[in-house]
Amino acid sequence: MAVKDIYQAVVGFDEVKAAELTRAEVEAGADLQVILNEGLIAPMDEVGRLFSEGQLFVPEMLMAAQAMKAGLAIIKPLLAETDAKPRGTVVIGTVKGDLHDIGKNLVAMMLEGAGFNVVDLGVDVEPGRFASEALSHKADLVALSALLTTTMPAMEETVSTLKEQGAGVRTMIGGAPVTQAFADKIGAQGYAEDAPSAVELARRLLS
Amino acid sequence: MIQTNVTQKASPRFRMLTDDQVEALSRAAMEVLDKVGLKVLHPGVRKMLRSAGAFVQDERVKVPEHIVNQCLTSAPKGWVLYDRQGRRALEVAGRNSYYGTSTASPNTKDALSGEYHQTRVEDLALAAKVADALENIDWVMPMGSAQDVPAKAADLHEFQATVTNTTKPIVFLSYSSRGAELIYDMAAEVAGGAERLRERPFLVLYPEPISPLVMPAEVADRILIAADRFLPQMMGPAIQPGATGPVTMAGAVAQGLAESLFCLVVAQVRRPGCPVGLGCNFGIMDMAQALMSTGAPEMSLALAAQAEVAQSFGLPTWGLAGATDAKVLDGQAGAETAYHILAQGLAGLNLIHDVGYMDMSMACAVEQLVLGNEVIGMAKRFFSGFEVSREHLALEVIAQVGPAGHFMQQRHTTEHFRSQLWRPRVFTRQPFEAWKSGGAKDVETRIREEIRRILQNHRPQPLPESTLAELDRIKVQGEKELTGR
Repeated sequence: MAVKDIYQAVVGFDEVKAAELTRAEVEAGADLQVILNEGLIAPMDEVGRLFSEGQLFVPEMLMAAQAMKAGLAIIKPLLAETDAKPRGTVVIGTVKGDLHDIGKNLVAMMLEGAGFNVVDLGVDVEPGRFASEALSHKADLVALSALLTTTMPAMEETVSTLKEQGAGVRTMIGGAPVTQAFADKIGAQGYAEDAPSAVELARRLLS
Repeated sequence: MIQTNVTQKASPRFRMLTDDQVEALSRAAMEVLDKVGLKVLHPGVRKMLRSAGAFVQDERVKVPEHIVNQCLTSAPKGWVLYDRQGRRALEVAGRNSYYGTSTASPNTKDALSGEYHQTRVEDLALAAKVADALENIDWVMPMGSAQDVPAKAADLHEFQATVTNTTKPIVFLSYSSRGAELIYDMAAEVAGGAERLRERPFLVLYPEPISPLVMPAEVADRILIAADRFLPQMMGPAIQPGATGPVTMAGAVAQGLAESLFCLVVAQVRRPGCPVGLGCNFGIMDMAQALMSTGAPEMSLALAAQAEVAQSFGLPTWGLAGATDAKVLDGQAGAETAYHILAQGLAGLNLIHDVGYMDMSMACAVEQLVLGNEVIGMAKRFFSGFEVSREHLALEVIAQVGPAGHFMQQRHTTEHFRSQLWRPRVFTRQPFEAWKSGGAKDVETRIREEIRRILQNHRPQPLPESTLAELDRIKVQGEKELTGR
């Protein structure tokens, strides 16, 4: 019964309640998979549906994601590695020479809300650092952002560094001056025009 | 009633804020600077500000009010912008509104074919030529971010293409501090020396910090470069309410003012009295797409309020109009273009840029520039108002014409109709049958024809051969330096 309350807390953007109720359910001995699937993932699917119908908007999705994350923080350490089933691990950052991050932050938050494990490296990230972090976190996907045309070469450099260092990881890119053509040119697996499509792309690439 | 000193000219304008509200926003901006401050990534500027009395801890710089006030006192209350020929062009002060082009887009909507493609240097040359011919475009920016030249030196190519094809004043970005220096070298060559350029500036630098409250080292460098040359600079922080600033307009305006004032402080501390503007941009984020709109109604609302506070300091202001989120020249393009051009002219913003943006600032389009020019014509007619005078009340003419007469053959009509009535360049006023038999052309088609006509007939004033050669030399040398090749 109370798992339903966790669901309500997430769709109600209440991170304090989501964490409290999750802890309560855990202590009551509820099935961890049920808490995860019905209490935390299901409400995000509902929020996603309402978003694509134009009834909820990005700030609300992000608030729900924050509440879901609060609940997830409680049960994640308790779930066995095989049970955890995140959708994948994404390493994200703004490339070397570029300090702009609002787009990157939006994509990172929305990926988290969609159930991905996100490692955000911040801004002005060296190609070598993308590679080492991708390897150490066993990333499935590396997401690169740039706003300045002058920093797009750093995207190309990062993609080749990732290939060279054997990370073997897929890459997707985005940002105002970035295009599909550029993604194709540098050998990135994907390009997304905006944050919601970036999430869709990540889902497709890692399905 | 005895009347002396009668005001003859009646023209519309609006005020948004009460004096108390201007004060409240101004106090809020001061508090942000004093209590939150900015993250400044330029060690030299941090040191400079610390010596001036700012509170500096690690990368955070907080500026107490008395320093801001000193800088507001030293900043000149407006500047004169000249054209490339050294002639007086714009009085950038008070509530004088001037409209300028868009800039820096990775894409271009082709002037002749209407197709979208990546921006090329030749697109900028063509756009500058058209802007040079359009009567209501007062100044320009390089109309795009060229993708067919090395990115690190593209600004040199873009400036060269622009300054070669128009004599109108130029506001420019530059992509690096060295790029800015090289562009100033080019401008000095055109003006006949650095001193002559300083006396009759025809270009304005446009530095843009990162919201919220971050000043990258490279932006700080550019502010110093313009300040050292005593050349005008217009600060342009761009707040996206709900994303990089508060979603409530008042908060967004307060933060924008703080960021712009900070840039002004850096310039004034470096070089007291150097010409600066207190510009700001509000990029309204669409909350379904999480992308920035250039047509949202809130944009003019926030700009008008920010400008009123800047005007209360006596400083030049910045606007954004003539841009559309539409991808084709349709009703949406018309509506968004008209709305913001009119609103910001009424608010008296000084340098109103981005006439020519389409697709949410992703493309510069000459057709949008021509549409914008048309609307600005209508707006300028509105702002110029009319005279309430004996001549214009025309009582003698009314009496003379009398009931059931007409005014078409009156001297009074002949004398005044050209100045009273605006004439369209591209909007249709044809009767239906004539329009139909003429090919039933929509506004996009007529604009395309007008672009062709302008390109065929308009010859911008050319630069002397020696100047062209020197610009080329600076560009080639500069590109080698900037690309390391």
